[in-house]
Amino acid sequence: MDEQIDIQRNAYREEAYELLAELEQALLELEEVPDNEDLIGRVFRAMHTIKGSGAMFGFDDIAGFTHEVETIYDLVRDGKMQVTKELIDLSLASRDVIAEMLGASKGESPVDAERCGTIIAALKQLMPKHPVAERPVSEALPFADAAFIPQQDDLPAVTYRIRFRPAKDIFAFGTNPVLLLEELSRLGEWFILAHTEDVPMLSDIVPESCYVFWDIVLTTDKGINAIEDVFIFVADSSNILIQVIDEGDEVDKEADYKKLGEILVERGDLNSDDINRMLDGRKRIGELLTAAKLVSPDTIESALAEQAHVKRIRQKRQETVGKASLRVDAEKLDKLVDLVGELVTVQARLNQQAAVSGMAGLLLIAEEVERLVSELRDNTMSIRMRPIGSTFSNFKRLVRDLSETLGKQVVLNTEGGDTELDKTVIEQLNDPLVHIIRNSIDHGIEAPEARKRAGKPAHGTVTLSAAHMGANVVIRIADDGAGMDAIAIRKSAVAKGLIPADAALSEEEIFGLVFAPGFSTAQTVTDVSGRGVGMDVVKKGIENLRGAIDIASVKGGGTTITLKLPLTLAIIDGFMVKIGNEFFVFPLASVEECVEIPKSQMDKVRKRNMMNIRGSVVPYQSLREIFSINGQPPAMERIVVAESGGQRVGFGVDGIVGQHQTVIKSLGKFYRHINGISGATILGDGTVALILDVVQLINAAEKQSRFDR
Amino acid sequence: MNSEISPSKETSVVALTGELTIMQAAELKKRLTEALNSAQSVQVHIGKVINVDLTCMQLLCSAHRTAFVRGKQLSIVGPVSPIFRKMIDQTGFRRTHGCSFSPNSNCLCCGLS
Repeated sequence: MDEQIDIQRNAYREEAYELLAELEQALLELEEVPDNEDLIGRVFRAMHTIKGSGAMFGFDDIAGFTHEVETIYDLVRDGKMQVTKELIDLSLASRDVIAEMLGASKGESPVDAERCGTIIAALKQLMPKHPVAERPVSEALPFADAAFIPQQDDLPAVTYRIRFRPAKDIFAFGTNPVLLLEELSRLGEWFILAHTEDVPMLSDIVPESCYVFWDIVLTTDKGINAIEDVFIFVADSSNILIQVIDEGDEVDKEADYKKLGEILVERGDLNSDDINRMLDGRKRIGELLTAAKLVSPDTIESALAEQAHVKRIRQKRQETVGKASLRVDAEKLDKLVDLVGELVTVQARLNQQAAVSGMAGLLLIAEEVERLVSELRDNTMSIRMRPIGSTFSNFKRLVRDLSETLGKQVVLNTEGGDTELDKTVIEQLNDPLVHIIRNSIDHGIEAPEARKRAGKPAHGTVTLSAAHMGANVVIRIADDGAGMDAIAIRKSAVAKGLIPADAALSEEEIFGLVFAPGFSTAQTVTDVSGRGVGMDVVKKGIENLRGAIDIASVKGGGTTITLKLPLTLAIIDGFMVKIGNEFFVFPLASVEECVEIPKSQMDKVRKRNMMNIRGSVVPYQSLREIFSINGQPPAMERIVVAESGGQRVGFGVDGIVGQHQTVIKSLGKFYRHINGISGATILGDGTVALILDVVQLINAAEKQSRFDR
Repeated sequence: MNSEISPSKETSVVALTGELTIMQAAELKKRLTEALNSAQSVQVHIGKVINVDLTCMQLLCSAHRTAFVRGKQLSIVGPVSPIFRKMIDQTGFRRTHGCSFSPNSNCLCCGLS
């Protein structure tokens, strides 16, 4: 009985976390478009569900707290309260409290009751003394264009309502509004209607003036930025209103859309009182309104067109996104991947045995098994893949809060959000990314006045981008801030004794110094970062994922940090080599080439730990030496040239076996700290091959060479 | 822009050719005014128009409602060049019903595409 309850409570918690994410997203969007009924509805529904289910499963504290917030949004929904920045702030704080309550229910630290009380009191303060009868016209919240422009891409196809009223003398400025409309039409599916109500009689008309304004309903996935860009040069003189009327992602919404009257009221074309008066009669509202001369037929037609357009879009969406999705326990998925890994290993053994036996029938079957296992492997790996976009979205809140705390204006742009990565990689990326973004905003982006003085726009931009490149995913965090000061870094490194005062370092190497433990050039340690523990932990985190991190910077221009990560953790393409009786595996991605050095030259190479490949000097290390393998080396040594972080090293091995699909098994706790080995794999005949940690080996080689100098 | 006005007490024909842009707008206004002054019904031919912009679309609209107010008629007659048709679509001048000025009449551009 208890177990049942536990399962249900866990299920509630999972659902609640999802709802909280949706709530946060909706709140952030609502800050942008404060009178958007859909967004208000989303916020209300999320809270309503959290409250209801919470009460059902015994989460009384959550239910009670959420009830208070839900009450406020009920008032907002009815038009009795306005959405203000203060309300959004309090709502986000409430969201955080609910998240903490969920954690507390799992055994984490309890929530501060006083804080809850403060938030509730503040919310109650916002409630109106006398209810407001009509929904007031919204004004842009002060932060609307400062910290917060929605991400550039990976938006679903959102539908906007645009009213474009050009200045009367727009032609005199050389602008042809028709060209702007053409640009808009290229953004997606649209419906456009010209309003000619203001066109005067021939006797009065000034031919060079513009009397026409437009209603446009546009469905596009290019984001609101793209729309605003179209009007960028006329934004000051013309009247432009852009509203979101369909978010493009809610499939379970009915395909039906707002009633005509609702649309007209939303657009400000009609007073809700008039609608109610009209509805007391029986005719269709469009006819009634036109007949009563409350609105022009144009206006009706335009609103009807919007209705039809959005209905159509929604229907289309319901059809295409019919594909079902399923929630799966993460543990079950991990088990599945494990089993597939085992299967790959056993299949390798089957291949070997079949080859040895020489039986044609068996060989055929083994081939078929190999094919199926390969497909199963690909399929399972892809299940674990998630688009990184959801991680990127989480940073919206971070950027918003940080900007406020630090008094800076920062815009977060994202690109390539649909790039997919292994689920574990994404989870482990979160902390490093948070730290890098924090650094960008804290140390990189300058305060608005400083930026203006430098001739930059007052708001700084942080761009997160992700893209597949070969077997890797490349993630870039770029800012247009102050960039890194190589001289200051060098000074600080010398002062800390990290490098000798006369060391000759390239700019790239100087930037690399920030990854040293205990490094920080911040004059004052802010609350946010600058304690100097950050970047080296970030680097370790990335290397744990078998990835690489790189910094590029232009002083005064900005900094770009590039992360290169492998697509999957569990199975990699390996390059197997043999030393003595032992087998080792290089990650294929880090192998550049193989060379042979004749025995006559080998002595020189071994002595100087250096070799000449086509004219360039490449460091040399003998793996036999590194791993102290007994026995006699063969006459001809093979060199595997591996690369990491731009640095190449040639590793001497006895022989090369070749490419090998490597299922990674981690070494036990006992062996985990061995330098140069990152894991192990089981070969077809049951022997164990060790997987080389190329990054560590190359770092060690470098330290050694500096030591030798 | 070339226009010939063939006057007759009943019907005046304004045949427009060439460019109908802001450069020709003032002249178009004059021509349309004259046509409406001189006849009961005005027919506008646009088949030979090679370019039209918003200013002239506006003028045609204005002429249409001016005619209505005076109890006269103004209509677009004859073949519609693809340029004109594209303009109507791109600028949302296409109407399915109703004129913004006189709800019970048809828009000048009704049935043109």
